[in-house]
Amino acid sequence: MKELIEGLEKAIQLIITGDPTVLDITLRSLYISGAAVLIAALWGIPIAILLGLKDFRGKLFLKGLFNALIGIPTVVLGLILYLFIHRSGVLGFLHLLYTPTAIIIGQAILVTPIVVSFSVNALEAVSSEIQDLAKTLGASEDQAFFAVFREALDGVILATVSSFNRAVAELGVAQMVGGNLSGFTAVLTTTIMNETDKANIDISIALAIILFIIVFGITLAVNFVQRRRRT
Amino acid sequence: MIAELRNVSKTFNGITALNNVSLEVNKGEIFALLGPSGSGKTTLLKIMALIEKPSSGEVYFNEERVSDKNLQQMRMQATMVFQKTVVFNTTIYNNVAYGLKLRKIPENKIKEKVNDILKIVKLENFEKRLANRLSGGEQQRVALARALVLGAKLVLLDEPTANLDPRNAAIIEEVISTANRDLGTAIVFATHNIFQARSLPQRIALLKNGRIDQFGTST
Repeated sequence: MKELIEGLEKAIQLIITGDPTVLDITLRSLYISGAAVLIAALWGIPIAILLGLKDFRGKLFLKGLFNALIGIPTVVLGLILYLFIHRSGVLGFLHLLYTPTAIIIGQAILVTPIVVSFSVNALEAVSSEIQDLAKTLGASEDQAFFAVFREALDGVILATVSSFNRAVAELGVAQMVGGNLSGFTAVLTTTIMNETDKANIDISIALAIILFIIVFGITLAVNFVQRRRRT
Repeated sequence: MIAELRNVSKTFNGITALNNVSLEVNKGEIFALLGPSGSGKTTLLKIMALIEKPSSGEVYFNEERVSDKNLQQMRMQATMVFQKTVVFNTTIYNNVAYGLKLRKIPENKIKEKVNDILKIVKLENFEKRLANRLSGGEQQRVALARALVLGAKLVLLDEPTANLDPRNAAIIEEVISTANRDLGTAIVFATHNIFQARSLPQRIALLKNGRIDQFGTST
Protein backbone atom coordinates (compact mmCIF):
# COMPACT_ATOMS: atom_id res chain seq x y z
CA MET A 1 0.00 0.00 0.00
CA LYS A 2 2.87 2.35 0.94
CA GLU A 3 4.50 1.65 -2.41
CA LEU A 4 1.27 2.55 -4.19
CA ILE A 5 0.83 5.84 -2.32
CA GLU A 6 4.46 6.84 -2.90
CA GLY A 7 4.13 5.88 -6.56
CA LEU A 8 0.96 7.93 -6.86
CA GLU A 9 2.62 11.00 -5.28
CA LYS A 10 5.59 10.76 -7.64
CA ALA A 11 3.31 10.13 -10.60
CA ILE A 12 1.29 13.28 -9.90
CA GLN A 13 4.55 15.22 -9.62
CA LEU A 14 5.71 13.85 -12.99
CA ILE A 15 2.46 14.93 -14.62
CA ILE A 16 2.33 18.38 -13.00
CA THR A 17 5.97 19.19 -13.83
CA GLY A 18 5.46 18.03 -17.42
CA ASP A 19 8.22 15.40 -17.34
CA PRO A 20 9.70 15.28 -20.90
CA THR A 21 9.71 11.45 -21.07
CA VAL A 22 6.08 11.20 -19.97
CA LEU A 23 5.11 13.97 -22.37
CA ASP A 24 6.97 12.37 -25.27
CA ILE A 25 5.32 8.98 -24.74
CA THR A 26 1.87 10.55 -24.34
CA LEU A 27 2.14 12.62 -27.52
CA ARG A 28 3.43 9.60 -29.48
CA SER A 29 0.50 7.51 -28.26
CA LEU A 30 -1.97 10.19 -29.30
CA TYR A 31 -0.32 10.54 -32.71
CA ILE A 32 -0.13 6.80 -33.43
CA SER A 33 -3.64 5.94 -32.25
CA GLY A 34 -5.11 9.09 -33.79
CA ALA A 35 -3.58 8.26 -37.17
CA ALA A 36 -4.75 4.64 -36.89
CA VAL A 37 -8.34 5.69 -36.18
CA LEU A 38 -8.27 8.24 -38.99
CA ILE A 39 -7.22 5.52 -41.46
CA ALA A 40 -9.80 3.09 -40.02
CA ALA A 41 -12.52 5.75 -40.33
CA LEU A 42 -11.50 6.61 -43.90
CA TRP A 43 -12.00 3.07 -45.13
CA GLY A 44 -14.39 1.83 -42.41
CA ILE A 45 -17.17 4.43 -42.70
CA PRO A 46 -17.68 3.93 -46.48
CA ILE A 47 -17.81 0.16 -45.87
CA ALA A 48 -20.36 0.77 -43.09
CA ILE A 49 -22.48 2.96 -45.37
CA LEU A 50 -22.46 0.20 -47.98
CA LEU A 51 -23.40 -2.47 -45.43
CA GLY A 52 -25.92 -0.30 -43.60
CA LEU A 53 -27.81 1.26 -46.47
CA LYS A 54 -27.44 -1.01 -49.50
CA ASP A 55 -28.70 -4.52 -50.16
CA PHE A 56 -26.43 -6.98 -51.94
CA ARG A 57 -25.42 -10.65 -51.95
CA GLY A 58 -23.04 -11.59 -49.15
CA LYS A 59 -24.02 -8.60 -46.99
CA LEU A 60 -24.99 -10.74 -43.99
CA PHE A 61 -21.75 -12.70 -44.21
CA LEU A 62 -19.68 -9.49 -44.27
CA LYS A 63 -21.60 -8.03 -41.33
CA GLY A 64 -21.04 -11.23 -39.36
CA LEU A 65 -17.36 -11.22 -40.26
CA PHE A 66 -16.81 -7.65 -39.05
CA ASN A 67 -18.78 -8.40 -35.85
CA ALA A 68 -16.62 -11.45 -35.20
CA LEU A 69 -13.38 -9.57 -35.82
CA ILE A 70 -14.19 -7.04 -33.07
CA GLY A 71 -12.97 -9.58 -30.54
CA ILE A 72 -9.68 -10.49 -32.21
CA PRO A 73 -6.96 -10.72 -29.52
CA THR A 74 -4.49 -7.88 -30.07
CA VAL A 75 -1.51 -10.14 -29.51
CA VAL A 76 -2.73 -12.53 -32.22
CA LEU A 77 -3.11 -9.64 -34.68
CA GLY A 78 0.33 -8.41 -33.61
CA LEU A 79 1.80 -11.86 -34.29
CA ILE A 80 0.17 -12.08 -37.73
CA LEU A 81 1.48 -8.63 -38.62
CA TYR A 82 4.91 -9.53 -37.29
CA LEU A 83 5.01 -12.60 -39.54
CA PHE A 84 4.18 -10.42 -42.52
CA ILE A 85 6.61 -7.56 -41.88
CA HIS A 86 9.62 -9.15 -40.20
CA ARG A 87 12.83 -9.21 -42.22
CA SER A 88 12.08 -12.43 -44.14
CA GLY A 89 8.30 -11.93 -44.19
CA VAL A 90 6.24 -11.27 -47.34
CA LEU A 91 6.36 -7.52 -46.68
CA GLY A 92 9.81 -7.52 -45.07
CA PHE A 93 11.24 -5.40 -47.87
CA LEU A 94 9.18 -2.46 -46.58
CA HIS A 95 11.29 -2.36 -43.37
CA LEU A 96 8.26 -1.57 -41.24
CA LEU A 97 9.04 -3.70 -38.21
CA TYR A 98 9.63 -1.69 -35.03
CA THR A 99 8.44 1.57 -36.57
CA PRO A 100 5.52 3.83 -35.60
CA THR A 101 4.05 3.12 -39.07
CA ALA A 102 3.79 -0.59 -38.23
CA ILE A 103 1.83 0.21 -35.06
CA ILE A 104 -0.42 2.62 -36.97
CA ILE A 105 -1.22 -0.03 -39.60
CA GLY A 106 -1.77 -2.69 -36.94
CA GLN A 107 -4.06 -0.51 -34.83
CA ALA A 108 -5.98 0.63 -37.94
CA ILE A 109 -6.66 -3.02 -38.81
CA LEU A 110 -7.54 -3.76 -35.18
CA VAL A 111 -10.17 -1.02 -34.88
CA THR A 112 -11.67 -1.23 -38.37
CA PRO A 113 -14.24 -3.88 -37.29
CA ILE A 114 -15.34 -1.56 -34.45
CA VAL A 115 -15.77 1.40 -36.81
CA VAL A 116 -17.67 -0.75 -39.33
CA SER A 117 -19.91 -2.74 -36.97
CA PHE A 118 -20.88 0.15 -34.68
CA SER A 119 -21.50 2.46 -37.65
CA VAL A 120 -23.62 -0.17 -39.43
CA ASN A 121 -25.71 -0.58 -36.27
CA ALA A 122 -26.15 3.20 -36.04
CA LEU A 123 -27.19 3.49 -39.70
CA GLU A 124 -29.60 0.56 -39.48
CA ALA A 125 -31.12 1.89 -36.26
CA VAL A 126 -32.11 5.09 -38.04
CA SER A 127 -35.54 4.35 -39.36
CA SER A 128 -35.65 3.73 -43.12
CA GLU A 129 -38.62 6.07 -42.91
CA ILE A 130 -36.15 8.94 -42.38
CA GLN A 131 -35.09 8.45 -45.98
CA ASP A 132 -38.73 8.38 -47.15
CA LEU A 133 -39.55 11.35 -44.94
CA ALA A 134 -36.73 13.44 -46.42
CA LYS A 135 -37.93 12.56 -49.93
CA THR A 136 -41.52 13.54 -49.20
CA LEU A 137 -40.22 16.90 -47.98
CA GLY A 138 -38.47 17.44 -51.30
CA ALA A 139 -35.03 15.89 -50.80
CA SER A 140 -33.16 14.35 -53.72
CA GLU A 141 -31.73 10.82 -53.37
CA ASP A 142 -28.40 12.29 -52.21
CA GLN A 143 -30.03 14.68 -49.76
CA ALA A 144 -32.19 11.86 -48.36
CA PHE A 145 -29.11 9.69 -47.93
CA PHE A 146 -27.36 12.56 -46.17
CA ALA A 147 -30.36 12.96 -43.86
CA VAL A 148 -30.01 9.31 -42.79
CA PHE A 149 -26.27 9.71 -42.28
CA ARG A 150 -26.79 12.86 -40.21
CA GLU A 151 -29.31 11.03 -38.02
CA ALA A 152 -26.78 8.22 -37.52
CA LEU A 153 -23.88 10.60 -36.95
CA ASP A 154 -23.94 10.27 -33.16
CA GLY A 155 -23.51 6.51 -33.54
CA VAL A 156 -20.74 6.90 -36.12
CA ILE A 157 -18.91 9.34 -33.82
CA LEU A 158 -19.34 6.90 -30.93
CA ALA A 159 -17.86 4.16 -33.14
CA THR A 160 -14.85 6.37 -33.88
CA VAL A 161 -14.35 7.30 -30.22
CA SER A 162 -14.64 3.65 -29.14
CA SER A 163 -12.07 2.79 -31.80
CA PHE A 164 -9.66 5.39 -30.49
CA ASN A 165 -10.10 4.14 -26.94
CA ARG A 166 -9.46 0.57 -28.07
CA ALA A 167 -6.38 1.65 -30.09
CA VAL A 168 -4.77 3.81 -27.41
CA ALA A 169 -5.35 1.18 -24.72
CA GLU A 170 -4.17 -1.91 -26.67
CA LEU A 171 -0.86 -3.53 -25.92
CA GLY A 172 -0.40 -6.58 -28.16
CA VAL A 173 0.05 -4.87 -31.54
CA ALA A 174 2.20 -2.03 -30.17
CA GLN A 175 4.52 -4.48 -28.40
CA MET A 176 4.76 -7.07 -31.18
CA VAL A 177 5.39 -4.76 -34.14
CA GLY A 178 6.57 -1.62 -32.31
CA GLY A 179 9.01 -3.23 -29.93
CA ASN A 180 8.73 -0.43 -27.31
CA LEU A 181 11.87 1.35 -28.53
CA SER A 182 12.49 4.29 -26.22
CA GLY A 183 12.01 7.63 -27.95
CA PHE A 184 10.81 5.95 -31.15
CA THR A 185 7.98 3.41 -30.76
CA ALA A 186 7.34 3.39 -27.00
CA VAL A 187 3.69 4.20 -26.31
CA LEU A 188 1.68 4.46 -23.09
CA THR A 189 0.69 0.81 -22.77
CA THR A 190 4.05 -0.71 -23.70
CA THR A 191 5.88 1.69 -21.41
CA ILE A 192 3.54 0.94 -18.49
CA MET A 193 4.34 -2.76 -18.92
CA ASN A 194 8.05 -2.18 -19.36
CA GLU A 195 8.44 0.26 -16.45
CA THR A 196 6.45 -2.01 -14.14
CA ASP A 197 8.83 -4.83 -15.03
CA LYS A 198 11.69 -2.54 -14.03
CA ALA A 199 9.90 -1.64 -10.76
CA ASN A 200 9.50 2.02 -11.82
CA ILE A 201 6.02 2.13 -10.38
CA ASP A 202 5.80 5.95 -10.33
CA ILE A 203 6.23 6.27 -14.10
CA SER A 204 3.80 3.39 -14.66
CA ILE A 205 1.17 5.03 -12.46
CA ALA A 206 1.71 8.43 -14.10
CA LEU A 207 1.21 6.93 -17.55
CA ALA A 208 -1.80 4.91 -16.37
CA ILE A 209 -3.42 8.09 -15.02
CA ILE A 210 -2.78 9.84 -18.33
CA LEU A 211 -4.27 6.89 -20.23
CA PHE A 212 -7.41 7.12 -18.07
CA ILE A 213 -7.64 10.89 -18.58
CA ILE A 214 -7.32 10.51 -22.36
CA VAL A 215 -9.98 7.78 -22.60
CA PHE A 216 -12.51 9.43 -20.28
CA GLY A 217 -11.70 12.97 -21.39
CA ILE A 218 -12.29 12.29 -25.06
CA THR A 219 -15.52 10.40 -24.40
CA LEU A 220 -16.87 13.20 -22.19
CA ALA A 221 -15.84 15.89 -24.68
CA VAL A 222 -17.58 14.07 -27.53
CA ASN A 223 -20.75 13.66 -25.44
CA PHE A 224 -20.74 17.39 -24.75
CA VAL A 225 -20.26 18.29 -28.41
CA GLN A 226 -23.02 15.89 -29.50
CA ARG A 227 -25.47 17.48 -27.08
CA ARG A 228 -24.63 20.95 -28.39
CA ARG A 229 -24.91 19.80 -32.01
CA ARG A 230 -28.58 18.76 -31.71
CA THR A 231 -29.74 22.21 -30.65
CA MET B 1 -57.51 17.46 -60.76
CA ILE B 2 -54.31 17.46 -58.69
CA ALA B 3 -53.35 13.79 -58.79
CA GLU B 4 -54.44 10.70 -60.63
CA LEU B 5 -53.55 7.01 -60.48
CA ARG B 6 -54.24 4.94 -63.57
CA ASN B 7 -54.38 1.14 -63.24
CA VAL B 8 -51.72 1.08 -60.54
CA SER B 9 -50.58 -2.28 -59.18
CA LYS B 10 -47.84 -3.04 -56.69
CA THR B 11 -46.36 -6.36 -55.66
CA PHE B 12 -43.77 -7.05 -52.97
CA ASN B 13 -41.92 -10.36 -53.35
CA GLY B 14 -44.83 -11.86 -55.27
CA ILE B 15 -47.48 -10.58 -52.84
CA THR B 16 -49.97 -8.15 -54.36
CA ALA B 17 -50.42 -5.03 -52.23
CA LEU B 18 -52.38 -3.05 -54.84
CA ASN B 19 -54.32 -4.46 -57.74
CA ASN B 20 -55.24 -2.26 -60.68
CA VAL B 21 -56.21 0.82 -58.67
CA SER B 22 -57.43 3.96 -60.44
CA LEU B 23 -58.46 7.12 -58.64
CA GLU B 24 -58.45 10.88 -58.99
CA VAL B 25 -57.92 13.52 -56.34
CA ASN B 26 -59.46 16.90 -57.10
CA LYS B 27 -57.93 20.22 -56.14
CA GLY B 28 -58.84 21.32 -52.63
CA GLU B 29 -60.81 18.23 -51.62
CA ILE B 30 -60.52 15.97 -48.60
CA PHE B 31 -60.41 12.36 -49.68
CA ALA B 32 -60.44 9.38 -47.32
CA LEU B 33 -59.01 5.95 -48.02
CA LEU B 34 -60.99 3.69 -45.75
CA GLY B 35 -59.98 0.10 -45.22
CA PRO B 36 -58.77 -2.50 -42.75
CA SER B 37 -55.10 -3.07 -41.93
CA GLY B 38 -53.23 -4.63 -44.83
CA SER B 39 -55.70 -3.39 -47.42
CA GLY B 40 -53.01 -1.38 -49.23
CA LYS B 41 -53.72 2.13 -47.88
CA THR B 42 -50.11 2.94 -46.94
CA THR B 43 -48.74 1.56 -50.21
CA LEU B 44 -51.24 3.66 -52.13
CA LEU B 45 -50.23 6.80 -50.22
CA LYS B 46 -46.52 6.08 -50.73
CA ILE B 47 -47.08 5.71 -54.47
CA MET B 48 -48.94 9.03 -54.50
CA ALA B 49 -46.10 10.60 -52.51
CA LEU B 50 -43.72 9.24 -55.18
CA ILE B 51 -41.52 7.40 -52.68
CA GLU B 52 -42.70 3.99 -53.90
CA LYS B 53 -42.76 3.06 -57.55
CA PRO B 54 -45.77 1.14 -58.87
CA SER B 55 -45.06 -2.28 -60.41
CA SER B 56 -47.39 -1.24 -63.22
CA GLY B 57 -49.69 1.67 -64.00
CA GLU B 58 -49.14 5.40 -64.13
CA VAL B 59 -49.23 8.38 -61.77
CA TYR B 60 -50.14 11.88 -62.91
CA PHE B 61 -49.78 15.24 -61.16
CA ASN B 62 -51.61 18.20 -62.66
CA GLU B 63 -52.25 16.12 -65.80
CA GLU B 64 -48.50 15.47 -66.22
CA ARG B 65 -47.22 11.89 -66.14
CA VAL B 66 -44.62 11.18 -63.46
CA SER B 67 -41.42 9.68 -64.85
CA ASP B 68 -37.85 9.19 -63.65
CA LYS B 69 -36.94 12.45 -65.35
CA ASN B 70 -39.40 14.68 -63.49
CA LEU B 71 -39.66 12.62 -60.26
CA GLN B 72 -37.74 15.06 -58.06
CA GLN B 73 -39.68 18.07 -59.32
CA MET B 74 -43.03 16.23 -58.99
CA ARG B 75 -42.23 15.21 -55.42
CA MET B 76 -42.32 18.90 -54.48
CA GLN B 77 -46.06 18.96 -55.22
CA ALA B 78 -47.08 16.47 -52.53
CA THR B 79 -45.92 15.64 -49.05
CA MET B 80 -46.76 12.82 -46.67
CA VAL B 81 -47.15 12.35 -42.92
CA PHE B 82 -46.50 8.79 -41.80
CA GLN B 83 -48.54 6.72 -39.37
CA LYS B 84 -45.49 6.03 -37.21
CA THR B 85 -44.33 9.56 -36.52
CA VAL B 86 -40.81 10.19 -37.72
CA VAL B 87 -38.91 13.22 -36.47
CA PHE B 88 -35.35 14.29 -37.11
CA ASN B 89 -33.17 14.15 -34.02
CA THR B 90 -33.00 17.92 -33.65
CA THR B 91 -35.15 20.85 -32.55
CA ILE B 92 -38.75 21.40 -33.58
CA TYR B 93 -37.65 24.47 -35.54
CA ASN B 94 -35.11 22.48 -37.56
CA ASN B 95 -37.68 19.75 -38.18
CA VAL B 96 -40.30 22.13 -39.52
CA ALA B 97 -37.76 24.19 -41.46
CA TYR B 98 -36.17 21.14 -43.20
CA GLY B 99 -38.26 21.19 -46.38
CA LEU B 100 -38.12 24.99 -46.62
CA LYS B 101 -34.32 24.90 -46.44
CA LEU B 102 -34.28 22.34 -49.27
CA ARG B 103 -36.30 24.84 -51.29
CA LYS B 104 -33.66 27.49 -50.55
CA ILE B 105 -36.13 29.91 -48.98
CA PRO B 106 -34.42 32.86 -47.21
CA GLU B 107 -33.83 32.33 -43.48
CA ASN B 108 -36.04 35.25 -42.35
CA LYS B 109 -38.95 33.89 -44.42
CA ILE B 110 -38.37 30.41 -42.99
CA LYS B 111 -38.52 31.80 -39.46
CA GLU B 112 -41.78 33.56 -40.22
CA LYS B 113 -43.39 30.51 -41.83
CA VAL B 114 -42.25 28.16 -39.06
CA ASN B 115 -43.60 30.46 -36.35
CA ASP B 116 -46.94 30.81 -38.17
CA ILE B 117 -47.43 27.08 -38.66
CA LEU B 118 -46.39 26.26 -35.08
CA LYS B 119 -49.15 28.61 -33.90
CA ILE B 120 -51.66 26.74 -36.04
CA VAL B 121 -50.67 23.34 -34.58
CA LYS B 122 -50.63 24.91 -31.10
CA LEU B 123 -46.90 24.43 -30.56
CA GLU B 124 -45.86 28.10 -30.44
CA ASN B 125 -42.79 28.75 -28.24
CA PHE B 126 -41.78 25.10 -28.62
CA GLU B 127 -39.34 25.70 -31.48
CA LYS B 128 -36.14 25.24 -29.46
CA ARG B 129 -37.23 21.98 -27.86
CA LEU B 130 -35.90 18.65 -29.12
CA ALA B 131 -38.56 16.95 -31.23
CA ASN B 132 -37.89 13.45 -29.94
CA ARG B 133 -38.56 14.56 -26.35
CA LEU B 134 -42.20 15.41 -27.17
CA SER B 135 -45.19 13.17 -26.58
CA GLY B 136 -46.52 11.08 -29.49
CA GLY B 137 -49.36 13.53 -30.10
CA GLU B 138 -47.08 16.55 -30.09
CA GLN B 139 -44.66 14.80 -32.46
CA GLN B 140 -47.54 14.10 -34.83
CA ARG B 141 -48.41 17.81 -34.73
CA VAL B 142 -44.78 18.64 -35.59
CA ALA B 143 -44.98 16.20 -38.51
CA LEU B 144 -48.18 17.84 -39.71
CA ALA B 145 -46.67 21.32 -39.36
CA ARG B 146 -43.57 20.17 -41.28
CA ALA B 147 -45.79 19.00 -44.13
CA LEU B 148 -48.20 21.94 -44.20
CA VAL B 149 -45.52 24.64 -43.97
CA LEU B 150 -44.37 23.69 -47.47
CA GLY B 151 -47.65 24.89 -48.93
CA ALA B 152 -47.90 21.73 -51.07
CA LYS B 153 -51.15 21.41 -52.97
CA LEU B 154 -51.54 17.77 -51.86
CA VAL B 155 -50.92 16.44 -48.36
CA LEU B 156 -51.09 12.68 -47.73
CA LEU B 157 -51.78 11.52 -44.19
CA ASP B 158 -51.41 7.91 -43.10
CA GLU B 159 -53.71 7.22 -40.14
CA PRO B 160 -52.96 10.69 -38.74
CA THR B 161 -54.84 10.24 -35.48
CA ALA B 162 -54.19 6.55 -34.83
CA ASN B 163 -53.07 5.97 -31.22
CA LEU B 164 -53.55 9.63 -30.27
CA ASP B 165 -55.43 10.87 -27.23
CA PRO B 166 -58.72 12.71 -27.96
CA ARG B 167 -57.20 16.20 -27.43
CA ASN B 168 -54.34 15.66 -29.90
CA ALA B 169 -56.68 13.91 -32.34
CA ALA B 170 -59.05 16.89 -32.21
CA ILE B 171 -56.20 19.35 -32.84
CA ILE B 172 -55.00 17.31 -35.83
CA GLU B 173 -58.52 17.14 -37.32
CA GLU B 174 -58.99 20.87 -36.78
CA VAL B 175 -55.66 21.64 -38.48
CA ILE B 176 -56.55 19.40 -41.43
CA SER B 177 -59.89 21.20 -41.85
CA THR B 178 -58.25 24.63 -41.53
CA ALA B 179 -55.53 23.83 -44.08
CA ASN B 180 -58.13 22.54 -46.49
CA ARG B 181 -60.51 25.46 -46.02
CA ASP B 182 -58.04 28.37 -45.79
CA LEU B 183 -55.18 27.20 -48.00
CA GLY B 184 -57.10 25.03 -50.44
CA THR B 185 -54.78 22.09 -49.71
CA ALA B 186 -56.08 18.80 -51.05
CA ILE B 187 -55.86 16.17 -48.31
CA VAL B 188 -55.83 12.41 -48.80
CA PHE B 189 -55.85 10.45 -45.61
CA ALA B 190 -55.89 6.78 -44.80
CA THR B 191 -57.98 5.57 -41.93
CA HIS B 192 -59.68 2.46 -40.62
CA ASN B 193 -61.98 4.64 -38.51
CA ILE B 194 -65.32 4.85 -40.30
CA PHE B 195 -66.50 7.75 -38.10
CA GLN B 196 -63.45 9.84 -38.99
CA ALA B 197 -63.88 8.92 -42.64
CA ARG B 198 -67.43 10.24 -42.52
CA SER B 199 -66.77 13.36 -40.43
CA LEU B 200 -63.90 14.96 -42.40
CA PRO B 201 -63.85 14.12 -46.08
CA GLN B 202 -65.98 14.92 -49.05
CA ARG B 203 -65.18 11.65 -50.84
CA ILE B 204 -64.33 8.20 -49.58
CA ALA B 205 -62.78 5.19 -51.31
CA LEU B 206 -63.20 1.81 -49.66
CA LEU B 207 -60.06 -0.27 -50.12
CA LYS B 208 -60.17 -4.03 -49.70
CA ASN B 209 -57.41 -6.56 -50.48
CA GLY B 210 -55.53 -4.03 -52.62
CA ARG B 211 -58.56 -3.10 -54.72
CA ILE B 212 -60.93 -0.17 -54.52
CA ASP B 213 -64.21 -1.78 -53.61
CA GLN B 214 -66.33 1.33 -53.96
CA PHE B 215 -66.35 5.13 -53.96
CA GLY B 216 -68.76 7.20 -51.91
CA THR B 217 -69.35 10.58 -50.33
CA SER B 218 -69.53 11.49 -46.68
CA THR B 219 -73.04 12.87 -46.91
